[in-house]
Amino acid sequence: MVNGMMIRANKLINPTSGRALILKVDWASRSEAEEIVKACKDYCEGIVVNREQINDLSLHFSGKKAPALIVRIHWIRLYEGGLSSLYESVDTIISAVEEAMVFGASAIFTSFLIGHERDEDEARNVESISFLSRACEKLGIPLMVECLPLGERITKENFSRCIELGARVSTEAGADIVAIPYTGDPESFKKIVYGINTPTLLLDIKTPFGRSVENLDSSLKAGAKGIVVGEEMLRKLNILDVKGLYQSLHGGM
Amino acid sequence: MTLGKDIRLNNILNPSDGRCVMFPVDHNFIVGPIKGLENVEETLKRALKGRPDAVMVSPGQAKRLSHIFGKRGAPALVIRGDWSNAFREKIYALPARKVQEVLIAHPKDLIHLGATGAVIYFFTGYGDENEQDQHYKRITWFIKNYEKVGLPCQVCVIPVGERVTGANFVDLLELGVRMAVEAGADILEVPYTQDITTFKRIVSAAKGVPVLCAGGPKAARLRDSLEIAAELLEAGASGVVFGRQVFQSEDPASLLNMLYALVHEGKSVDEVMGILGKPLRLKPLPEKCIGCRLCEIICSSSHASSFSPYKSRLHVEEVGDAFKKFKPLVCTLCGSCVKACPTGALELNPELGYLQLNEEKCTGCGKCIEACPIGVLKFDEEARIPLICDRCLGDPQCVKWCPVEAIAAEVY
Repeated sequence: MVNGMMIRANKLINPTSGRALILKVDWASRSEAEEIVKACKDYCEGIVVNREQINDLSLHFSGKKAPALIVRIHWIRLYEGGLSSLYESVDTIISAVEEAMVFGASAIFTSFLIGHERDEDEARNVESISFLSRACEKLGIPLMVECLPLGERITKENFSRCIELGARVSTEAGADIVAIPYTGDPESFKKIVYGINTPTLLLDIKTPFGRSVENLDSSLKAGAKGIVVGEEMLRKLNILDVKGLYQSLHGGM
Repeated sequence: MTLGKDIRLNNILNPSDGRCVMFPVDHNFIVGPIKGLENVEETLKRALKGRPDAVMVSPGQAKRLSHIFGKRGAPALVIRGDWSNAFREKIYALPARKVQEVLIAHPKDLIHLGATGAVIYFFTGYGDENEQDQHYKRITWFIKNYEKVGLPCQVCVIPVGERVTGANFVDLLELGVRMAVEAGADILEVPYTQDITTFKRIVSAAKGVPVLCAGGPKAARLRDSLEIAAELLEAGASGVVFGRQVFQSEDPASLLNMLYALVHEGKSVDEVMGILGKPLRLKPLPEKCIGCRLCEIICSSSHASSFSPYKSRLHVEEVGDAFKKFKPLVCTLCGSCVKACPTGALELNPELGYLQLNEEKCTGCGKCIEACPIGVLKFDEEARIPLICDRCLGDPQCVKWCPVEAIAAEVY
């Protein structure tokens, strides 16, 4: 059955190569974001922006060859007292998804933080992803979830199992695409991709085993569909890096 | 009860006996990946041949596996409406330190996903009375809202928390069951109390609401799993919710089939183990066959959910001219097809001896059809696979339905 979800998902993951390069500029200031999007929009499948950036960047998402607009809808952060979230109620989450659709989003982006100090925070995080997913299902828009390991409970020894837990919970809650960091070895990465049975992207962050992007090759062999790059790579913008990554992803390595 | 709820409830509980074999595969949502559920779709593909009445999944899996549930004859889809960390013990990554439970879908969301029913937890034993109150209010609100959309609500009552001890476990369970009944639960799921007398108390507290019992950790032997189920049924349970017992077993479909025979056909463990647990061979008795072809119809119905003799795994042959006689053609387990298969897609089950096909390995070359010495093996042109007789995983339907007993099953 062809539906909105499938049409939009095909904008995120190139149907010809089956691969995707997603850029995240939701961390950047207005001018930084503008600069990155302008320079890299031809070398990626989609760009993650936050709501405040949409108006400034909207022109770059117009046209047939423009990248997909991915809106980070759920601002979330950890602080000493626990977890803070922009959207406190389920109703505001649903209306935020509708608003993103009005802006022309092709996907919704959110985070699942792994390693919460307080169990209440983890429960709230699961709750928000679940309701976000229900809202996305109704509107036919894919939900992309990044699994971010944080805090002291995550160690080098349990890193792989924690990522696996995060990826599983995210997909069981309803994520349509999952972004996970490299787990240290191809076998454990492959196990996660096989288990969740959902398009999986490599999330470029610092891990106990180095930067994820350094292991792109083995991640792709293990079943990853592409990579999500963010602040780590884009802070010191080098277009050649992004272009090289894009070409190697779609042209084979 | 609304009409919608009545229809859905009858899809979960078999309307002829009010009982149910439920197969839960939502464990990954709570504790992360566990043995036997590494890939839920693969597990379901293997297990669903065992005919469970209902399968319990998370909302994400319901969305992903709609192709499994969206066809006639598929099991009822029961979707989890909440999430809890309560069962993430120390053996799992990031064990829980304080019990949490949150709702993850509105009742209408579950209808949107195609749910036949919804399941939520109800914990008794919270250390903080206020938390217990809030939890109960949330459950009550949810059940009332399920009622509005005609979705049956299964409440999984479990004593969890600081106040639970070995001595008060049954009392807390009984209290929780009664509270869930008062809140409007349509089906109750409870852990086994480990003896019939106390379990009867739980069933009595349910006041007629069907009580299904969870299987708990996997038993050491197949017989142990079945004996637990038999004991539960004797104590008044309306069925079983067996997850780990089934998907961690060597042959999930066979175990589900045995549970089906226990729950719905009233067979004893010995009967189930004696017949279903042993290699069976079909024996045609041509002198009795009247050529009604009911065997072909029932075979296609149970394997392909259609009444089409072309999809049948056995055939009735006409012999003679003036006075027609009939001869049932059944697979003799000669193994010629297994030997002829170039990819190893066909094999005989090492324990129970029936033929099994690995569809992923099958290339549809048709070598097995050519090799069959009696021509009983046919090819399914739609699915591009051979139609193999798997003895209905130990409970052959042709034997059961033949009105003149022209096909017999014998242990070999």
